[in-house]
Amino acid sequence: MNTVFVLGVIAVVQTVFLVMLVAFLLARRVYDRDRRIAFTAGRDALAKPARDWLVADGAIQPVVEALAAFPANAVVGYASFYVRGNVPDEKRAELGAALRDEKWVRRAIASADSPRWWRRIEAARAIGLVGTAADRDAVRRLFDDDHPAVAIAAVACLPRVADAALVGVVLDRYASLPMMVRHYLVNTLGELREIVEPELVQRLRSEAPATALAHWVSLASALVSRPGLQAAASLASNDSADVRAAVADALRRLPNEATMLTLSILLCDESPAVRERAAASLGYIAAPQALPLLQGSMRDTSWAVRRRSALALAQLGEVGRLAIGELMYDADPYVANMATVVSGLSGGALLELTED
Amino acid sequence: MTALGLVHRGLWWADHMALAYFLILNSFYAFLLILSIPELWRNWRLGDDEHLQRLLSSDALPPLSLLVPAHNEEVTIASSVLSFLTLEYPRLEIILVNDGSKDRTVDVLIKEFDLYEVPAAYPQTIPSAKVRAVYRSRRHSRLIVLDKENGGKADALNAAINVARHPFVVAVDADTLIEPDALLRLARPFLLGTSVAAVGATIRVANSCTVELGRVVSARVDRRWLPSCQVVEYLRAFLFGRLGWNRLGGNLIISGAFGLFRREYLLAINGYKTGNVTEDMDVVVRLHRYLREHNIKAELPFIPDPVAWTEVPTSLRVLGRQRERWHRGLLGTLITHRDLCFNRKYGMAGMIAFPFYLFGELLAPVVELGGYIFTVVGVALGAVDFHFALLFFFVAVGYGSLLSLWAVLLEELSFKRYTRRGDFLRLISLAFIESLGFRQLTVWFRLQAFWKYFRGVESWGAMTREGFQKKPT
Repeated sequence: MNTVFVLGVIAVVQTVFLVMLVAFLLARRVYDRDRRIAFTAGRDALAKPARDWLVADGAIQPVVEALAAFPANAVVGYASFYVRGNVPDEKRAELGAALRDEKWVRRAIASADSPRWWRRIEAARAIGLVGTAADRDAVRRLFDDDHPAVAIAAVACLPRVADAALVGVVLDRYASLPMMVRHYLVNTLGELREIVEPELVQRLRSEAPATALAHWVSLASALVSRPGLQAAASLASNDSADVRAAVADALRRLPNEATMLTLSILLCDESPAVRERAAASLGYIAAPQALPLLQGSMRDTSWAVRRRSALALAQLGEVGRLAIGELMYDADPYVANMATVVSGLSGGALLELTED
Repeated sequence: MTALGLVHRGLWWADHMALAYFLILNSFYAFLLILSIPELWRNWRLGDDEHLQRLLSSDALPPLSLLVPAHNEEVTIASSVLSFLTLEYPRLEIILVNDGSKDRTVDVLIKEFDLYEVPAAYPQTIPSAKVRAVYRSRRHSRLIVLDKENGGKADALNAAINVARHPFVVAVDADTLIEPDALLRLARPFLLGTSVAAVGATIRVANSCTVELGRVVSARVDRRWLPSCQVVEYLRAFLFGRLGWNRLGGNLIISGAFGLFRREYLLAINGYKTGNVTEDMDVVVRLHRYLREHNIKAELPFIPDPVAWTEVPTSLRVLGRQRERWHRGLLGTLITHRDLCFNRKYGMAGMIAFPFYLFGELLAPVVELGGYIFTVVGVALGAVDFHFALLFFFVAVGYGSLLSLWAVLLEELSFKRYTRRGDFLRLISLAFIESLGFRQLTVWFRLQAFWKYFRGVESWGAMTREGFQKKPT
């Protein structure tokens, strides 16, 4: 077998591949066009019965039939998307009951253990549409999924199926979740406040690792949970700087005398990150008694704390702006420079710089 | 053996070595292509999911600083800044650096955006040329303008990194057109909880596309030979080249026209290296080095669906300068970081990516030119069989076409930016045309880089542009 023969074989194989690729490309264009047409037809067929059911108390059966006629590969995604955007909470239970025994729904839920992550997403979305307490184990497995997109889809099921045990599982995993999943979870947990708050307070009072505590404190803040924030305040002297920083940040949601005292202590913390968050919270609360504290922290050794204190002073209103005016002529060039930066900011820039 | 016999034998061997090189290199490309398929599939499914896309527009995304170096851009700077200001991203600051422009770039910005000067109170962590003034805008609080003395693109980026206050920075060229949702798509690794040091995105050819208010509103394939060949070339480079490297974990290039970086790591490596003509590759190689040396587990993924559009050269002269510069930069970077080559300490980057860029990219034009010369001389002297030479050429061209066609197929299966039938058919035909003529031209341009590098040339060369096609009003 010489090289000419080998090259000849390669050339023939290449040519066959090239022809096949061109044919596939052309066929794919046609297939995509047909699929797009089928999707548009399905969406249009759903619009009228759905409108009748939603606003004119029409029957639900035509909606169920229109969804059943939808292209199989797109029905779960579209139904889930449509429900979230158009169907009010009080109507969702009715739709869920009507769809529960539909073949496409059962097929989607059965794929909760599929090796393909996009099938598991479909399962989670189908449970989000029709789920009951019987689906708790499936939701728990989906929430524990390695793929964050599946976990996110499972979070959307919680309002339909959650109980204290499942919320407990969710909270225990909270710290290890990707940031976006945590954020999404906050919105959902807000709908389950009565179940979430006791579980959260119990965890904030536990001897959990610092990372978990810091995240639960942030969760209490994001939920604006009064019992959660009160429990979080007791962690202001925790050994971990991460926990103290989270507390300093969260306390802006609990403005009272005790908070001011705690923040004044945290403003003298050994960690610059904690001092910075404390200064930010004092600016956010904008109580006049914060003025001397922030004036003092303008002399902090950390640039970030000085910057945050200057911004916080600007947030105090007229009294803060007057203080900044005086600090512009301070003998310390670092203090004067930072005060000058903040004094020159427009209202929009101040808002922009204090939002994080 | 006679002298002629020795020449015959030498030519035969040289030709067969070129064939072996060709087969090994293209087998590796085929391997990259296979690796790119699951990556593309995964990214397409995530990018196409409306639920996840909606989630990505929430304010949970980390804030970004967009770094825009500009030099003599008075004509286009106002519309460029406006297009950056209207990008879809919840928390974004734009830091524009006027890098010692000799025209009225700063005056235009002051007038158009109502800029006011503020003291430069930020830590000067990375050295850069002197910053003359820092401005903020009364009209757009997210805009910051630095006016500094000329120091080149890398120096301008370093000055912007110093000012940036967010944990992630996105480096873009002032003349790049970024798709409105590109930053949201670029942030997908955060949704997936991936620890990233940098994220690369796709660059596409904007020539002949219709542009409205700094946005590509209609993607077209240019009808002219030179820019249209680059459309397929870019598809091939981004859709399977870089995606394949994702799986291998050794992406060595994130385009300087559009890429995201973790600021903390850029500060740690002292920012971009000035005086380097391909600062984008250099910074990525140094990031790999830093991460490995400090045992930091952070990825440098490439994501195919965030798209930025750029104008490519339409004349041979400008294309020649660009390709020569790119290859000179590659040569310089590989020489500077030569200790990475086959160094297990640097993982995939050292064991696979670096040797590939050395043997597969840097030396490719040398081997290709050698192959052409030895084949022609060999056939003329009767040392190489004519059928062998013909088949070799046919297979080489056919293989290039096959890879280009795969790239078109991947585009069709996933993002489908070119919706018109005419453009689609043009892409298919270009997959065949591009391997004949265009590829050989780039070989010639890249060869010049060796000569210029060893002569110590450090210039970028002037890049003249035609400007984008505006939507008729």
